[in-house]
This record gives sequence, C-alpha cells and structure tokens, in this order.
Amino acid sequence: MPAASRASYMSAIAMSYDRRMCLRRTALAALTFLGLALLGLTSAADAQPERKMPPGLEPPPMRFAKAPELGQVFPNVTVVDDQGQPVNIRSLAAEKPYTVLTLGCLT
Amino acid sequence: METVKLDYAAKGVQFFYIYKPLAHPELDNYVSPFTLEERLMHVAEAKRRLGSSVTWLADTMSNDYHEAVGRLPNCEFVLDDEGVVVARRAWSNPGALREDLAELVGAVEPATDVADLDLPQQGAIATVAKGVVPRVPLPPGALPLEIEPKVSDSKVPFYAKLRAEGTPGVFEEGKGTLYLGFHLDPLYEVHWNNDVDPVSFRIEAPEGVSVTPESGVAVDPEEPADADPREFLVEVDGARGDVLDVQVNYFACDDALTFCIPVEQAYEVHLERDWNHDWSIRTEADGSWKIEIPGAPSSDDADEDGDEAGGSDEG
Repeated sequence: MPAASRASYMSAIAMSYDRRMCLRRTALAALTFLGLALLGLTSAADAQPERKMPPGLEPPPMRFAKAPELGQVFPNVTVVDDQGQPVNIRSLAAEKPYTVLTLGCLT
Repeated sequence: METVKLDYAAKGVQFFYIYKPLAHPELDNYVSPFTLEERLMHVAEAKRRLGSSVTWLADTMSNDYHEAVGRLPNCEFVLDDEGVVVARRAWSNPGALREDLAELVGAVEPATDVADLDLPQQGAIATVAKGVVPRVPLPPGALPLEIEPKVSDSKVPFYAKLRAEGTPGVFEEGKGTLYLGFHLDPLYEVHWNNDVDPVSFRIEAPEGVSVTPESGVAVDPEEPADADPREFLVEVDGARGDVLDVQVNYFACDDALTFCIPVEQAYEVHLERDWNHDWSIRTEADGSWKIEIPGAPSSDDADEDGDEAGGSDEG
C-alpha cells in the first residue's frame, strides 16, 4: 500500500477512539504489523526472500486465513453481554439488517 | 467507529465491540483476567477509558469468538441479517467501514467528524509507587504460556496474577528459561505490603522434569508499599506439554487501606504456547513503553494490511 494510503489508514484508525488511546493503538498496530511485515510474510506482493518466522508467532495473513470469509455464514458462536448473559452472534445479527462486530481489548 | 455508529445506526446498522484476550499483556499494566467476572471488569474499564456509546460484548473465557476469527487482535466483520459475512478486514478501519456501509445502505452526508464528538479521555489507573523494584528482563524470544489458575473455595480474587512466558525451547520442547511474573491487577487497586513477608513461590514438577530453582523469594524493598511486579527466572528441563504446579504467597493490601491479607494461590503452568495472547509490552514506571517483538529482525521494510468487502482483496 503506498505511503499516502498508509497514512490515511493510520489517520482513520486514529479517529475511532479517544486521541491518546487511539494514537497508542495506532502506533502499536502499525509497529506490530511492521514487525511481522519484516519477515516477508504479510504481502503476496513482497519481493524480498521469505525469512524464518520467529517461533511462537503467527503473521496476520496466516491468522486471517482461518477467519470466516465473504459470503460465508458466521460461525455459530456465543459471547456474553456486559452482565455476563449469553448472546448468540447469529441471533444478534438477525435483529437488524446489518451488524458490525469489532474485536478489541485494553492492550 | 463512534462517528460511523452515529451516522449509520438510524439506517438499520447495529455496532458491537467484542472484548477479547489481551493482545499484549502488561501494556498500561493491565494483566489478563482469569474469570468472566474479571473480563467484564475489563469491559467496564474499557468503557471508562474510551467513553464510546458502542455496545460492548465479551468473549467467553474459552475464547470461542477469538478462535473463530483466527485470533486476530482487532478484526472487523459486517454481517447481514442472515449472519452472512458481507465485509471483513483484519484491522478495524473506520474509514473503510464507512465505505462498506455506504455501499450497503447508502452514504450519510455530511459525515460526522470525530471533532464533533466530546469523547472523554481517561487515563490508566494510577497505582502506588512503581519503579521501586528493578525489572527482570524477559529472556530472548519469550512468549506467553498456557496457565490455569486454581480458583479456591475462598473466592479470594487473584489480586496478583501470574504471567508465565517461556523461551522458544520451552514451548517447543519443554526446555529453556521460564519467566514467572506476579503482577498486581490494577483493577483491584491493591499494592504489596513490604512491612511483612515478601512474595515467595514454590514449584512442584512432575517426575522427570527438573526446575531450577524450585522456589524463590522476591526482593524486600525499603519502601513500605509498591506495585511493581515480582519476577523470577527459572530453568526448566522437561518435555513440551508438561505441567508445573506453582504456588505463590503474598500479602495484598488495598489502596484505600481497608484490608491487608495474606494470600496463597496456585496455578498450573503448561509448557505450551498460549496462542490467545501475543507478546507482552512492558510499561515503565513513567508510563512509557516500546514494542519489542520477540525474535523479529530489524529492517526498514514496511507493508500494510488491507480490507475486503464485496470483491476486494484482503491481505
């Protein structure tokens, strides 16, 4: 992705949370991906020779390959609400025309 | 995300954050929750810090959602009302999400700008004196191991939580250097009482597995109280998948000074990689941190992830 697009991507992520948190997460996400990108395993277009993966680390493309794909029904997973009550994702999705699910944590 | 939600909620789109296992333990001194109740405490903390109106859900303690999406830390999916994935990306991207939704339900003009919002900015929880006890460096390449806290009938919370990491030899062959760090959970607002016995641990290993040392006592600082981790390095010679029993003793005192109690707690430490947590990010006493990816070489190359909706490629 060109530097200009990358910069706008970072800026877009930066808008999603409060500024201090988002800048931290933006830097974290960028550096994390940078670190894993160094191994030549994050882009099919990367012309550098493949480097050995540090043991115990899975690059994002390898992880994303296991994720539900476009056109696929989302797995029948149950999570909980903020009171600990079960919430089935498919049932949740049925409540509205579209449902956005974003995964995250404090770190 | 907040601006996207404000613009598209009226167009039949609902938004949820799903709280997952910590991607980078120790960043801002947060430690991984051991129970669903503690994970929901994290959700409450996330609400406090982010001030977002987006509804929070949480993954179960078996991390079913995290596993189902390939264990990516910040992925995003858009589902239709039949649960079909109509857009997805490896990293959340509000700008790209807005484009997806514009395609699905129509654009919203003018789009709400984040500058229009009055999102509160809350810092991390303050704790008592940090930087009192020198940190033990993580051994090279160390990554989180599977641990299982032994919840007792007394229901005393794990005020101090074990974080176990192992060098590659440990999680690949059961041999190498083990890091045992006992980190006070900032959500309980407790500190170490240094006027009583210091933190101590003991390890019981299965037959045929050697652990050196088998026990240890933490430093005993002059300061009457602090909240620094108590850390130890242990050499282990066993086999992948072996399980060590770790017992820790400490005194926990709450920052409001309403209690100070002796605590004895136990864990199973598995000589196996915990794939639901990535590398830890050490936060210094002044709040600063830096990313050091275990085992990654230095380079000036860079690449970027993409997103996928409709027919776009996803990287």
